[in-house]
Amino acid sequence: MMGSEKTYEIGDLKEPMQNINIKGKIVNINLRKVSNERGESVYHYGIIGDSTGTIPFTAWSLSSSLKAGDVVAIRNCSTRDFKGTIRLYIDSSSAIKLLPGEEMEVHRTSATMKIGQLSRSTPYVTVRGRIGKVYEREFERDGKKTTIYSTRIEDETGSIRLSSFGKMLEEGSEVEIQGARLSEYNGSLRISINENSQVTRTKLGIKIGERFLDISSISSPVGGVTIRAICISMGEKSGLLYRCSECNSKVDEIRCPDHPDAPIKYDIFAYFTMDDGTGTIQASAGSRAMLEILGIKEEEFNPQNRAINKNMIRERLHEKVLGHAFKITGDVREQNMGLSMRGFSISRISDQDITAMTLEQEADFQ
Amino acid sequence: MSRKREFSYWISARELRETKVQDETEEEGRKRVYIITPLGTRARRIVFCGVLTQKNQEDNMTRATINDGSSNFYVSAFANEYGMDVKNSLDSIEPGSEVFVMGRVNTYSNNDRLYVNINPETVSPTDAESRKFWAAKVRYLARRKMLAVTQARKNPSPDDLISKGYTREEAESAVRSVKHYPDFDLSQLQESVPADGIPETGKSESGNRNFVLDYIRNNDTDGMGCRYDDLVAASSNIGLEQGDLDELLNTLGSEGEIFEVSLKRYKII
Repeated sequence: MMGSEKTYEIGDLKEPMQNINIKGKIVNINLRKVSNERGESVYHYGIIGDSTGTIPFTAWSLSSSLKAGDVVAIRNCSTRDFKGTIRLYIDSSSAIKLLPGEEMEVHRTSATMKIGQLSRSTPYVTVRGRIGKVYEREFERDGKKTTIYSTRIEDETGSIRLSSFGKMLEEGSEVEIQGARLSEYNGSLRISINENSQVTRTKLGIKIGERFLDISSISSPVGGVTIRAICISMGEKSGLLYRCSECNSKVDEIRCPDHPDAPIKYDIFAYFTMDDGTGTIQASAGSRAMLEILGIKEEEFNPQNRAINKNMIRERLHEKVLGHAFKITGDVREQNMGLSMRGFSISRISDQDITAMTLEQEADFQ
Repeated sequence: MSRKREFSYWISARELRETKVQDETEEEGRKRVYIITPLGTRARRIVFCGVLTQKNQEDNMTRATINDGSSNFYVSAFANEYGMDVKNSLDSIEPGSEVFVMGRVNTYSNNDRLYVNINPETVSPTDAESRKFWAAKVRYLARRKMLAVTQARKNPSPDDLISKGYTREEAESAVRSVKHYPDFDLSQLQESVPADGIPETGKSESGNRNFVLDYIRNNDTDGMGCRYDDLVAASSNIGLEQGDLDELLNTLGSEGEIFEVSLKRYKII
């Protein structure tokens, strides 16, 4: 079917719309590979904008030579709701024409999003949440001193690292941040506040409890989330580690090459695959999270205790973790192999957890 | 070349038992066998928990029956290069214990019926809470898929289902179910796994087994073997459904207790 001849401005887009034409500038563009039972495929996603606003897009059929800054005319695309925001979809029936040399001003809009929904495809966002513990430090740039406030902000769906350049943040306060810049660092998402962002104190009355997610719904490296799943495989390199008590570096031998007189301390690196019936995710955890699961008291966990050795830890990991269901709270990170989770709290699933989960499930069918 | 982990599905033994369709494809030059369950799940690898109710341990192979409260999973672990560790794990678990299994489906047909066996990749003892957690999640996933299938029978469009809040996996499964099981009675799977996942093992299972063995022994009236139709009628009188009887006959045959002397005629060995 031929689309209409009308070219829409991005600020006028609603959902759902079919066979529409737009003209816009690519603000950012990313490539992602997906694997499913039909094999591997790739798609592009990003932000496109014009003088009236911006919109995230997903393109299943797009030239990989397109880059941020290109102005394009797109025919026969569509819009749909995706997790509460309007998204532009470009598929094989769409036609894309590059307009070389054409300039376009983009009016940056920042969509209001829950923290758990943030993704790299939305570079500017408005978030509302509660400020965690704040760390201040001075920073000098171009001879001018600025205070950086580092903290985390959280809502009912997740938590994320937050840096504010010059704008003071207070622990425990509830705020709305408009025009926060979203970026990724070391596999985790973070947002920053600069001179163009607005911070407003507000009353949200957020009730923050455990934020349970199905593994299949985890799509971005968000923090402070909880999964309930069964361990289906244990990583071969999981086990006991030696660390230098001075520099905390992992050491292969019984001494640290840089601090030969410093005693060695024990740590655990556990790396395993968790499956909740909707998907799998790689999870990892250290001794702080694992000792109780393995039935080892903290005061026993030291090199003077001969009962604890590499074989014993490896056997315990298989016996106590593989094939058992756990509740894991941690931060999701994005690395080369995809999303993974660093668990900072791990506990066996209890009858109370199953009852709570069943009640949530029943609510899903109401 | 690294390969992405193949997805493992959580399905009940009852849903597996009702599976009648297999789907063969060629991937990377090798034949791959998938099953398509009544709820449309297309699986090659499954994950389940249950109680180990029976184990037949031999040097080259261990057969085990694991019950999840809805029916039985049949597991065969082989003493070969890749399966030795798994066989040893299974051998070390005592009947009556709770067990976790991840494995590949293996199908075979007999009398136009598809049977699904599991070749385990991981077998591990588990605990009651993990088994109950698995059961609760399986019930939830199956219930969502049943609702999706009901919708898909009116409009088998994945996009329509996704717009109604189903995941892509649920939507595509529902459409497959409509295609392969258009008349399947979904109520059969409604309560397929008990809320607590506790199998009705022991008494009733061994009772059924003894009943079927006794009936075959005592009803070989013409020396040609006990008739299947007579067995079905007698079993229904004690509440043993035809599907469960078929499964039991299959198990007894595998264990060498009975053999099918001619079509639908059974004798005790």
